[in-house]
Amino acid sequence: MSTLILNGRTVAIAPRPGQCLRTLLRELGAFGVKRGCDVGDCGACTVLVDGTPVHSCITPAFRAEGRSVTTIEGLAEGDRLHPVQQAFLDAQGFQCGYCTAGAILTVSSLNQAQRQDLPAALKGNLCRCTGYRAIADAVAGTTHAERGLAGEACGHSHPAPAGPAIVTGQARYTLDVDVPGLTHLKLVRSPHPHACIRSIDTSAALAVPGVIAVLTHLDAPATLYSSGRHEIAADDVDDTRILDTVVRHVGQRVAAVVAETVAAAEAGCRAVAVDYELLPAVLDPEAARAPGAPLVHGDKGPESRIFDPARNVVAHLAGEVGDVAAGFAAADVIHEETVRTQRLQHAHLETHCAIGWRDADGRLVLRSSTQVPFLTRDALAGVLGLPRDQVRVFAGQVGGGFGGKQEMLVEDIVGLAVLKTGRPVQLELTRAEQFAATTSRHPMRVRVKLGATADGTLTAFEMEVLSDTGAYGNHAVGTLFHGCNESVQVYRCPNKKVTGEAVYTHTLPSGAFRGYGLSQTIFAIESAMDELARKLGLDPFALRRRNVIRPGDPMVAHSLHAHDIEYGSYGLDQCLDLVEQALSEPGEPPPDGPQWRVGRSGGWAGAWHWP
Amino acid sequence: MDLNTVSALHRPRTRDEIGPWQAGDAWLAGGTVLFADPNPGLSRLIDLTALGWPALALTPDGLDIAATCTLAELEEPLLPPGARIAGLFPACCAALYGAFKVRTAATIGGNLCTALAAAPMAALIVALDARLTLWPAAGGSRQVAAADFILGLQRTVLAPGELLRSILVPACNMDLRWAFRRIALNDLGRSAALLIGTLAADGRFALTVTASTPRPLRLDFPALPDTAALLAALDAAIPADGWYDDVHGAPAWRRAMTQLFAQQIRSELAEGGPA
Ligand SMILES: Cc1cc2nc3c(=O)[nH]c(=O)nc-3n(C[C@H](O)[C@H](O)[C@H](O)COP(=O)(O)OP(=O)(O)OC[C@H]3O[C@@H](n4cnc5c(N)ncnc54)[C@H](O)[C@@H]3O)c2cc1C
Ligand code: FES
Ligand code: FES
Repeated sequence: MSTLILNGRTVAIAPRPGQCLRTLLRELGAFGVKRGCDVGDCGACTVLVDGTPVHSCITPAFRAEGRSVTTIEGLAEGDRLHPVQQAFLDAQGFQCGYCTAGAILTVSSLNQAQRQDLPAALKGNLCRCTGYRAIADAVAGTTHAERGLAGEACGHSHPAPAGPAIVTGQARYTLDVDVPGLTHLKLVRSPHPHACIRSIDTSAALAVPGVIAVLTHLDAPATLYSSGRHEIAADDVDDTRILDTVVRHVGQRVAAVVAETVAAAEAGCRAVAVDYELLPAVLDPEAARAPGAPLVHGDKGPESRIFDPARNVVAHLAGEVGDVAAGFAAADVIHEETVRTQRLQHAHLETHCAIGWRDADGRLVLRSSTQVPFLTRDALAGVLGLPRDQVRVFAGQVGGGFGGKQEMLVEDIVGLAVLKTGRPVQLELTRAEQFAATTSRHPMRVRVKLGATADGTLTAFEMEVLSDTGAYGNHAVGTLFHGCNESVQVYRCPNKKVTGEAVYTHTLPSGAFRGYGLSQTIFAIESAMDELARKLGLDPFALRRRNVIRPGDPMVAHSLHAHDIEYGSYGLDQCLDLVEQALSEPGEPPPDGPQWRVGRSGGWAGAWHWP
Repeated sequence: MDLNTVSALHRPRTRDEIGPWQAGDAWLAGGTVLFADPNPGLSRLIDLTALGWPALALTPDGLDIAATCTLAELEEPLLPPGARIAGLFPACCAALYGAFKVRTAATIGGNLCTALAAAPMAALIVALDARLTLWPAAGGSRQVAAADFILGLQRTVLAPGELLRSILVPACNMDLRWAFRRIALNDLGRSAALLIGTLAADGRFALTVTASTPRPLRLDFPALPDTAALLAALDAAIPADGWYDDVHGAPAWRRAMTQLFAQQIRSELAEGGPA
């Protein structure tokens, strides 16, 4: 036993030989110390050791022996906030707040020179929500929050109710609770893109001291579901099992080990022996539709609602209004191009995580980092075969989601583990698991072909989309639909044709991601509009002004079918004016020298939203 | 992260207390690599900082840097007043992708022994033609030239159980003129090419290339070469497939930047004439 001084109080510690300071401090109750990456990159775990900021995840715990450690909980003096805490409140220098403790502690240690060069001083503090502007405002002492406006709230900048809790480290994110008897779950994941599981030998894992249970497909219900969550569950395809007999991407879970400690769960995972029968895999979305391609969900029937399992097509869309061929025939200029967009991870700083237990009434309770607690509750009840009122899912403060948490990626296995063991179970994905085994933005290939008369009036608009949903179809349908909808509706053109397919491949599943399919198609369409303007010799803004819908125009994508969405007010013209004006104002001058070119471009992006 | 397979921590205060090397052992310096990389093969950490080596000492032989000297300590090195190379130290420390909070823990020894392509300490010591003292497991010590220490990506001359004790920047190199160029995909990101040129009082020129190649490369010239000779020497030393390739930069771009920087460094040093 040794001691350290934690926020002014001497506490006894017994760090494990390989323990990092981050987990030691959390075990001491300092839940304000966050974990974003656990590899020294993000700064969410920043604490002050004898006044010097360090990343506690890469600091050996024993090095804090005899030192004074300040966490966010110890920065204020009683009720008086530290000036940096107050500055973050005044500027509202946070959104989800998960990065905020680390940012405040880091800023509190900066000297004047460092404050003058924030990109360098704060490069070890990642924030996925604010875009850093709000943080820079906090450092600069800018006040955005307005107070005391009872009765005239509208149009004012109100501070987030959670603000005081966030800047003092009192906000409780998903895992910031002390649950007596908590056990830990770790996952065995597939090293193969496509394989059939012949057998799993769990005996060695069960013999590891501290291991309580090992779950495999033998323990999992046969029920198929979608990890993507919508109010109407049938919007998504049912192609996923909690633990399956077939693995369809590298990183898919194969078994779950529940143990008294994370260390024992990890050791248990290493001891699980899986016998795989390797199967051919298709990794390329173009190849996936070709005859003879390995099928990802060839075993699924119509009840899964997959569009065509025999061609790896999970979702399909096609429609034409007017006569596109005639429209191109009438065009003076035609522009056609194809763009490809890449996979992207949301990288919310709080990884997917949940704690599950049974409450006093025997109900299954999950405290989860989710954007959709109620939809997850409904799904869990269905998958685990429980009445809806026997399941409760709730969220604490959520450390970012960006769509990635409109997904049931941990609650199902945690719920199953609680039912099997009767113990409270926690699963916290690592950053590496986030990248390798959660969802990403759908990679897409988008071909756009536009025709216009010499004055810039669109005569034909054609788009063809191929979306790669990866191994599972969560959100494949919705992102394809949206991607092919609002992006097209914004332009008036009598002749439009859109075709789109989302295909399975043996790769990481895609999922909901900020923009929901639109970012990819809008990038393609707006790029094509710019090129069309260039070919026509028109200003890109003029081309858009000529063709965007105006008040009273219907919103038409690829069918005349009436939608239940209308626009209540119209500001597109003002948006174009404002952007054009902002672009024409003097900005940062280009560097000296003839080798620098200056580009200027504009674009539009938007989406349907309703309360 | 927690290194959950590690079950023992050894904190020797003297070389004698280090004891025999065992499978699963790792020398622990700052820990910014060890604690950032899951490695279930580890079972024991041997804490080098317990040995209490003074970080920096200026001796008649030169600047003696302990392997456990942190990058933060190295930013303000203990050099003779007015030593020309003083500015090269903070430039190389700032070239670490890790922020200042990482630099307070990261050590020069850990940086060299990890031997990443983008190891800024490798650039520093190779450019300054430093000499490394190693402690073999069997006892005694041996010396290697900085340019010979790193064999390839994450490979060094260290034998199992051998450690890096110190780095000596020779007194005769304190007044080298130098020029520094670096680029990364993001201005503050991980180096994709980091080059240092040095010019000695007697006119000898050396070009050190790191980050764009898997291991540091040093080209020595009796005098400042002309551009064509410099580029030809680069071409001869680095085969077409010898450029480093990872997410931090495409090989062709690294090659182009290396060639550009080599020329810029040559011009910069040519302008002042020999020191
Ligand atoms: C955010 C971040 C950014 C980083 N950016 C970079 C970068 O741009 N470039 C780069 O090269 N590195 C980078 N690193 C890696 C690392 O921080 C540095 O390489 C650092 O200098 C390693 O030193 P350390 O003392 O922390 O090493 P440790 O983690 O203590 O040790 C690293 C390795 O070296 C061995 N070792 C350490 N000292 C000795 C010794 N004296 N003798 C023998 N073996 C020894 C250890 O056993 C271990 O295998 C980064 C790390 C982080 C967290
Ligand atoms: S830097 Fe420690 S959790 Fe990211
Ligand atoms: S507020 Fe910074 S990550 Fe959410």
